[in-house]
Amino acid sequence: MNPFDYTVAHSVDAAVSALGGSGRPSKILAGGTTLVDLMRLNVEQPAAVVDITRIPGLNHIDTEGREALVFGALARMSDVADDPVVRRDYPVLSESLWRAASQQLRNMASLGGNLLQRTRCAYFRDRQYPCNKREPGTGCSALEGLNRGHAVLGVSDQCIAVYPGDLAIALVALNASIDVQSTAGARTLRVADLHREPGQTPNLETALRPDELILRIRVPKSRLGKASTYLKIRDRESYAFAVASAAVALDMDGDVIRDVRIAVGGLATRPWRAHAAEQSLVGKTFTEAAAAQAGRLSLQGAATRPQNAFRVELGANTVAEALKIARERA
Amino acid sequence: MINEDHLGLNRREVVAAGTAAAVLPANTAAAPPAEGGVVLQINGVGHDLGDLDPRSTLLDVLRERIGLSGAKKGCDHGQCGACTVHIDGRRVVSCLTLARQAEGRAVTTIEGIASADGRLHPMQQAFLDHDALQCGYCTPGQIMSAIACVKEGHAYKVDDIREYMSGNLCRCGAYVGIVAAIEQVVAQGRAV
Amino acid sequence: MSKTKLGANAERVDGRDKVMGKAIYGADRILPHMVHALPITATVGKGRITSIDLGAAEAVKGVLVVLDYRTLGRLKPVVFSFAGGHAIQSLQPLQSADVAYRGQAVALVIAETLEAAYEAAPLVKISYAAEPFEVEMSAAGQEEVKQAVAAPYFPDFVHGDPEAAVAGAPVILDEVYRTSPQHQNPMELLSVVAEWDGDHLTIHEGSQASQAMQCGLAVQLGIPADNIRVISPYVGGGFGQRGSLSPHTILAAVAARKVGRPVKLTVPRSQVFHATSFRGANEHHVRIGATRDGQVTGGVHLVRAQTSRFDLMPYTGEETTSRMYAWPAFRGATTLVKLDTQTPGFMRAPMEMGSFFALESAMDELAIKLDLDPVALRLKNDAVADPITGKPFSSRRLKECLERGAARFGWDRRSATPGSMQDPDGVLIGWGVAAGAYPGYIGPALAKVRLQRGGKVILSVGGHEMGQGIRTAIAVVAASELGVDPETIEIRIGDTAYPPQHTTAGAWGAATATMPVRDASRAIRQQLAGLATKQKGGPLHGQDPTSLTLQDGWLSGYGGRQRVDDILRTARLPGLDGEGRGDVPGLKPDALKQAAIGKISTAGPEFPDHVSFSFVAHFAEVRIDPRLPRPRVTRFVTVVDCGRVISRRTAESQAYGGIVWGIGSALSEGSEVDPRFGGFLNNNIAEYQVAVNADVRRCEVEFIDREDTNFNGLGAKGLGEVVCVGAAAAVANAVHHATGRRVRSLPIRMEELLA
Repeated sequence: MNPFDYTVAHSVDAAVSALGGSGRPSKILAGGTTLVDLMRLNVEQPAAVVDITRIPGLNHIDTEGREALVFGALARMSDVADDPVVRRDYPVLSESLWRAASQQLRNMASLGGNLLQRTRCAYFRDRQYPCNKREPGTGCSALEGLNRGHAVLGVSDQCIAVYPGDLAIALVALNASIDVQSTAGARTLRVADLHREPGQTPNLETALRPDELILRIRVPKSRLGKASTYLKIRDRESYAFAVASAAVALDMDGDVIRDVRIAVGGLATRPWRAHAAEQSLVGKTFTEAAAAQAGRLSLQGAATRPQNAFRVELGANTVAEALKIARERA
Repeated sequence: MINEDHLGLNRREVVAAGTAAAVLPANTAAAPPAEGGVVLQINGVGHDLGDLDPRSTLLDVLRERIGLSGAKKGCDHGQCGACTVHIDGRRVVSCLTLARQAEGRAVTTIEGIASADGRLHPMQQAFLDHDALQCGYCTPGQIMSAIACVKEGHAYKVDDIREYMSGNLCRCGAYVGIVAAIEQVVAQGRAV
Repeated sequence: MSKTKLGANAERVDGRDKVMGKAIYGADRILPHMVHALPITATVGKGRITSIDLGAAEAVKGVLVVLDYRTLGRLKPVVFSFAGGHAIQSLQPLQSADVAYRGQAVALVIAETLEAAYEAAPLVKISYAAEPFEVEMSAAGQEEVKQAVAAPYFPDFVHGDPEAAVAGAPVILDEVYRTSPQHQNPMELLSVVAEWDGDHLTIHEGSQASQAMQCGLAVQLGIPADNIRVISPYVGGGFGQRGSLSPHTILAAVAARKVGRPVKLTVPRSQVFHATSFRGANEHHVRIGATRDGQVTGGVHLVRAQTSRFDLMPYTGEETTSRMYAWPAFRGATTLVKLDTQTPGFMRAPMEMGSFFALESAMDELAIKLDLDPVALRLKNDAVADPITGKPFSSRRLKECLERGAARFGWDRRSATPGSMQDPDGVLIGWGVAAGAYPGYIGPALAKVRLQRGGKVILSVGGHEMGQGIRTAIAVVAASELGVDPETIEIRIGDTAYPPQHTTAGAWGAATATMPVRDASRAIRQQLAGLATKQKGGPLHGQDPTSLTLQDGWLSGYGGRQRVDDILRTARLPGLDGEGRGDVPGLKPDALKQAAIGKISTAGPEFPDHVSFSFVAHFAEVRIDPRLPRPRVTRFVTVVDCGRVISRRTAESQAYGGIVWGIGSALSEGSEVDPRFGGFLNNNIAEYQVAVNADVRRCEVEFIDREDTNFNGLGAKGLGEVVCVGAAAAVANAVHHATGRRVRSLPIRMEELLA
């Protein structure tokens, strides 16, 4: 690990000015579960690290408001997963959290940091291999390599690395947004607009400016919460990244689907909202065939490689099954 | 029974090793760090680590500076749980925790859970009773994790125990005993 | 205190230290002035180092020196363990500019702190001239050798004319099965603390072979073995990974001598995948002929197994498959395929995991062809004598394993048609059976037991505690002879300062160590009885010494008893010493001497009057959602014939562990190779997936628990390996029963089961 300047920020202002002020590559440190991991691999080599975990008032879990659930960026994954209101009214959120990582990591990882989790692509994580995301222009080792675990949606000829997070998939389904702040001021953006597809610049992963700090996450309150689920398909039963996942929420009027949200994870280069699949269901009677059709539409436009081609069918089935689970909760 | 004499080393030598941190008086919890030195509260004892390298992880500080080798290094990347300790009562992996982040917080390790008279913590006893271990390397992490699992309320159903203990790998495959040990502690209603 | 008997459900004697975090493993040591070493590994698949720039690395504050092939110094050649030596491979680290495989150590940073070492490592700039290489068995034009020709010590297993016997059979099964490379990945990282005192070296490292380590290091360094002490009281999991000397140990030893300070070297998990042995890939071509009523007429088991370019790692899985059933004719033969990796080696059930996945999958397929129940097919072909030598088995209770397992599992409720058992929600249920066997080996050991006045018992013997419970088994045996509490016995193992430390592997540890311990303990009891019956005026004077019992510090006879301390005091003795060597038929006369120089010198499975194997039967239940076909093992019943069970609690734990290994092997474990780069890509334990707690549901284990005194005096056969032999096949067969899909390669992943 490279040496770095370690600063503890005690306020948001101090944090953003520390980030923006040095002119050197700086990183925010919260739970450390991604950053410290990648620093030890020398994939991340910041000159300065700004520890924000001692900023007061950033770890709140506010479920009382009329409009939205509001989570501080430093709220721990485990705390939000176990929050009784979240569990009862937004199971998709709770499940996306407790089905991620391990309880130890969820006790450390912050919600804001989790959104910025970086890919698990083996070629990205090991500096001995060419990787356009880590070192633009060196090539993508995964295109012709071991890519069973790589993306089939949102890919480019430069990168097929999967966005590995779970929470963001649920947040995209629920139309969540984030408040961010920098020395230039504050703004709000949709979680759906946070992550970028690789395109020709896979090294640019988010729409955040380098000096921007996520302050809070807003999840609009909605009738879609209760009949929801996050289904995560893994090789082993727990403590593994998704081979495919689906965040699904339903608003039912009897047997008729009044509204629906579908997002898929583990299959795409960014959290992937399946609008076409949603449209196919709105106003229709819920049937197994309709769920299956929505599953297939969710994977529309998939570009596969021989080793990951199975994930199109698996992803479609995951969405269909998640819809059925959500239906039972309606 | 193992006699320390024939291991070629004993605990006293560990402390004499020169790299150990200064041990502060027992009730220094509220005392400010001396002269900017980093002070960690570990099992109720303050340890002054001086000008601690910001890169040092809590795991490496425990093992290499303080001589508490109960927390184990199994991956150094948060993938195995062998280094699990508690910070302010919550289980974390110490390999991904920068030691400075633990400053001012209460760190508890496997060495800090038995009572002063040597009586085992109920979870330690349950692991013994159910032979919930083999090689023993993952065991301190398993026990720290198990204590937290019960405290969190994730141990009332056997499937919850299995899920919430999945962050602690055991290559010997002692999972059957580990689950049984945790069930025993829950059934006894023992304070953890 | 109740009397400890063989088979006692005794508490693990080192369990208390382990639950308190007090057990000391290799890297738990902190020595005065100790520094840290970190290897740097090659980043080409094969080639030659053309330049090394150490400037930036050596400029890092706290770095003492960076060693490479120019500066480490020449090591004396060390010999591969299967060529009669001590090392996991003949290739030594940092000896030349040549790079044999990606991941090979090419430099070593030595620094005051771990932080400095990790900072410097990526600053070492090495350039390579890359050369072509091959890392996959499937590629064309491989360099192959017939094992029986290239390594005649490992012959084919042939009996009769199997090709004709199969070809002429009315029913023929002819399939190829494949297994991925796997890594042992014990939780403890490879780690060592090396310390010099003058010309004496002390090594603290968890090992299954401390004597081999001592003697191998002596060869490498060119110093007498007596100048080296290896201390290995605890091993954080072995599984075959620590059965020989690995390259990192000599690096730490040389580094410590260079810097004149103790050196701790902990191999990072990513490097562990290349720093020592692993289980190589296998390909098994199995042909079985059978009559229409299910009698096998012959078997042919041809194996292609991975080895390295520079060593021949033998593959002997057919040694056991050839004995599994009553083959009227059989051929087992191995072809070794040379690839550009480190030398493969042992991993729990080293040969049998792959060979029984193949054989027991094939038997399942044959049963379906014959429309026979797979348990019935196995029972029908149970062997009464060894097909290869014609000798009897020392004991063979495979039939009981299958019958008791079937009864316990409820096998008679199985509907034979694949896909015919389902949960109400459409989840498919599969029930699979597989059997297994493992050769009975036994090694040489010398036990020394001392009974001191005051009652303390100190015991030393060859053996290493990897968690299998050898310390507890030894304690139970000594306690049952000496009438003491097992936990009070001080046991000294895994240390070259004590009697020869025979390599502890192959499930021979307990059988090897316990017999000498029994004899040594018995010798003490006999001495005590001899003394007491001759002490005039004593309560036992004149009694028959063989009639006396020893318990809780009292020697008791007809109508009287006497304290052990009184006997010793009267005899003016501080204590008594006993020695035992066991008495194992078939061991070479010089076996103990071989052990003392770090050589494996076991007997078995062929003995003068019999052959010995342990047996097992596994019954697995899987559930598979056909649309999201992740196989999940929901129930497992395993019944083992390991002879007599010495220590019940630790034996059960080992058996549960075998099931977990079977689940991992079947469904998730596999080391992945990118043929463009070499090495292993998923070199961490997030992507190399071992089973987690949630993968393991209801497991039941049962022991036949009948002694095999033909094998040894205590009647105990090996357990640690056989418990996972065939376990993966039981899962694979259950997957077939659930889905109708026959997957002939491991691990079985969901893509193979999608519609």
